[in-house]
Amino acid sequence: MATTHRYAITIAEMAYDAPKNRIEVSLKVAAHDFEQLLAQVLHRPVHLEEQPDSSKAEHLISTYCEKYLSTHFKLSSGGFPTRFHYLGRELTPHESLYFYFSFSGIHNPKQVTVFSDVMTSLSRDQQNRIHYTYGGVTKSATLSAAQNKATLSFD
Amino acid sequence: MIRKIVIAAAVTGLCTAQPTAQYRHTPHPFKQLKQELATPNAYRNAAGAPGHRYYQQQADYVMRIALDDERQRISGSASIVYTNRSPDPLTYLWLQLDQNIRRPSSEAQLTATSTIDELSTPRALKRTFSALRFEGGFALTKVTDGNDQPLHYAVVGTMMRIDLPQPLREGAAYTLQIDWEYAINDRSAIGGRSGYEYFEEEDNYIYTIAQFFPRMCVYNDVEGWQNKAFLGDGEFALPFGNYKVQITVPSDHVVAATGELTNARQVLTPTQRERWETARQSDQPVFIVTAEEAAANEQQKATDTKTWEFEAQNVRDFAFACSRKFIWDAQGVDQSDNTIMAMSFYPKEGNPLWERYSTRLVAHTLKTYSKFTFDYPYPVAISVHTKRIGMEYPMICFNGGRPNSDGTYSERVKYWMQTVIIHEVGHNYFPMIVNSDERQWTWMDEGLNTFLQYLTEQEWERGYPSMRGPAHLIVDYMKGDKSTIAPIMTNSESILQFGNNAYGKPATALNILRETILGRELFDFAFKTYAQRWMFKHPTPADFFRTMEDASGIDLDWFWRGWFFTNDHCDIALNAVKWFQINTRDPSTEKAFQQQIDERQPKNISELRNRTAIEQTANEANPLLDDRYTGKDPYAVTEAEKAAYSDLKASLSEEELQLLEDRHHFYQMDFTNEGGLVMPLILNITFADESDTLIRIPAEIWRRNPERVSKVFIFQQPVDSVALDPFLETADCDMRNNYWPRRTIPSRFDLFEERSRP
Repeated sequence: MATTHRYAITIAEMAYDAPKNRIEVSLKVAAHDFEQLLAQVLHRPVHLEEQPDSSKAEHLISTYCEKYLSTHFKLSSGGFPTRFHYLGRELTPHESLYFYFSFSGIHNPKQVTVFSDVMTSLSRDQQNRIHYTYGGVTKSATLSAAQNKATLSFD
Repeated sequence: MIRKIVIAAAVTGLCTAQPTAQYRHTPHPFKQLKQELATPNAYRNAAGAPGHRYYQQQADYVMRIALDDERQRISGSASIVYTNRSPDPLTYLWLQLDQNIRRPSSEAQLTATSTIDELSTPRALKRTFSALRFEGGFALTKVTDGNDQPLHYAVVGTMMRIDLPQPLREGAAYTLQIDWEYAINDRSAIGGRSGYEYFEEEDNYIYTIAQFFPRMCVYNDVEGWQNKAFLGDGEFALPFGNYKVQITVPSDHVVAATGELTNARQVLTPTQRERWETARQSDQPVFIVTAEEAAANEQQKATDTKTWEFEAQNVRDFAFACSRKFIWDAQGVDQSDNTIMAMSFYPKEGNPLWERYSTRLVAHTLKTYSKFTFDYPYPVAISVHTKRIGMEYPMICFNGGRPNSDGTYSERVKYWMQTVIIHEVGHNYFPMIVNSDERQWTWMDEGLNTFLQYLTEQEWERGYPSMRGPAHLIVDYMKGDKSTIAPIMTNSESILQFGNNAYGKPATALNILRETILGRELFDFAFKTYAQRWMFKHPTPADFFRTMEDASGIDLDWFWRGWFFTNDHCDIALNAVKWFQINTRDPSTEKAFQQQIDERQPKNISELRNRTAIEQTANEANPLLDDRYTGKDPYAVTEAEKAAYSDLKASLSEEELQLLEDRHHFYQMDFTNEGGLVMPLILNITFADESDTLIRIPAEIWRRNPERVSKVFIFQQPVDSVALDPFLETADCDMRNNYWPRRTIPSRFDLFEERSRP
């Protein structure tokens, strides 16, 4: 059989940019799964690549993506909240959808708490893997519906 | 910075014994796979080939099937002749009743997990209720022997045991007669590998029918009876045999099935038969039923029936599809001994994709797979279109990939449709002909098939966006959370992340074997050997592992162990590169060299300023203050040093003298195995003169110490940079520690931000 995409994993690669004092994130999700979410909200099937860039539909989708991510992926540092900035998204022919966003106003890059329940409304088995690189060292954690927060610390 | 190697006057061989440390990774990565694999025996020998006592059973079917288009039901009557070629007398026979998975009380439905969150969408709720209300499962109306004598039987979930009045001995055959019926499932409502697709506006159906009859289980030397319940993920284990099937459908249905159509005169018009012949001679698709004819056909509903007759030799299963909506095209594919009819059956909803690509993809897949395995031995290969599926049967498969209703389609949909067709047609080779046990090992057919699918995609279109195959594409999966990663050698029902585990990772492993470990020539020879040894037989993983080693001459136990039996990943780090040259012991050369080195060292600020700021020191003003130490040139060669050098040379042999003259550059490189998987070291060395060289070191370099190794490389000129795994061959999960000097690798975020700048 060919169709086996119970692909319930997202991967967030995060890195601290010292000069800009921000944490840059690229989040990889399964394009098909995210389209399901969009379809639920827009009440019609959605194909991400079929929205011409300047159309109303594209604007709607773009706004929705930004809102969804800022609600479902949050980052605080040293106990202080940060500011979310959405950059954009990218669809690869390999069925992967990448979101790009950053968090500024990082109080303490050595101690970062991530909350993520991205896509958990679609499947209880959803896993959200996070990798955070600071000073050349990477620490990782796996978040899920049951455990949607993790703190990554460096000494 | 370069350092000097001082060679002692008496050159002794350097030999430090490695401490026998306790390694992190146990068992040792190079431990031979003796205990993990079944002991070779007379049925499956140590070379990985069928042994001299190898046997397999045979199950021949003669069936009459009727499809009820009004009520979506199938009724059937089968006569099964089962031949026991094993040395064991059998007192019962096991058959599979897969439709029983559709009973709400089935083990699959009872053991499915759910939460309220998951059910809180209209779609999920509808599906749940549909499944609960559907009266699926086989109703058996007759179970007798060949003389109509009733047989005692027991239905155990999706399996049925028939008790034989006498044991069935070696070489003997037994005839079963079974009548049954069942309700066909709506695939949109409750899913399924087979069922129907309903077109509401037209009130028309596409039936894609499989697992529709009681099928014999496999009995063999490895499992005894393979009667593990059908729970939905682990697919099928089936014996080979010959089929003769009559299918009665509404007279306006077009039928596609496993095997050859033997009564074309009764069911096809003269025009259709003529077009068939034309198609056979053609290397481009020819319509047997055109789009216009199908459009007209789907408007009415015939009330009378026709019976289509098919025969298939040496197949492990039988499936068919029928609809009044089908467009049908075909072309011939020539091989040295036969011509295959590559055919596609699809509704108008599949166009324009299906008429442009389907049959051509079937033909391309047959040609490419045959190149790597064996000539396709069957008379037909069919691709049928229905919604949202990819599922394989001998000579026929059901494939999804549908454009929008206005005929437009995205690039992703196109590539998805092409990938599915290649993959499902490819399954004819694995497992339909190389007939592994899918219930036990999903990867043996899915992994091997996905690998050949990748090769086929690359030959179909240059730069085809294959999702699986190249090593670097599996990195995200392999560096994931280990608690969600099971080894490939895990039973089908217990696999986590099914697609990556059973399809992607084994396919990648084979590609790595082909490109890196064995090379294409050795791999292709070994793989073809495996395919031809086990064609029309039932191989196990051990047979595959052993054959690949046996035929290639390369010990692969470390590779199978790492990739198939563990969930380790590859992350090899190039930690240090140290540069050396031989100390010539000649004071004029060495002192000049030392001067060069010293001049490059940083000087303190005071010293630098004082060179000009202090015009004359007291000592410089008064030469009377000089003694033998003042103004001494540390780099001048003294007579004593020259004498010592001559003495040394006199004490050395010719050979040792030669060594001192050597001007090579020595580089010691230190590697550590961070991820667990031992892999070859592939190094691209760039030199000062901008030339480069590629060095491939087999994984055996890790055999004494699987955690860290060092190696000294000797070059004619200085090295500028070193890259480990420059062509992304080893699925290394962290490339940041692969470069010397270290490189800054831009993140995806960096690249996207660059591109997004106005």
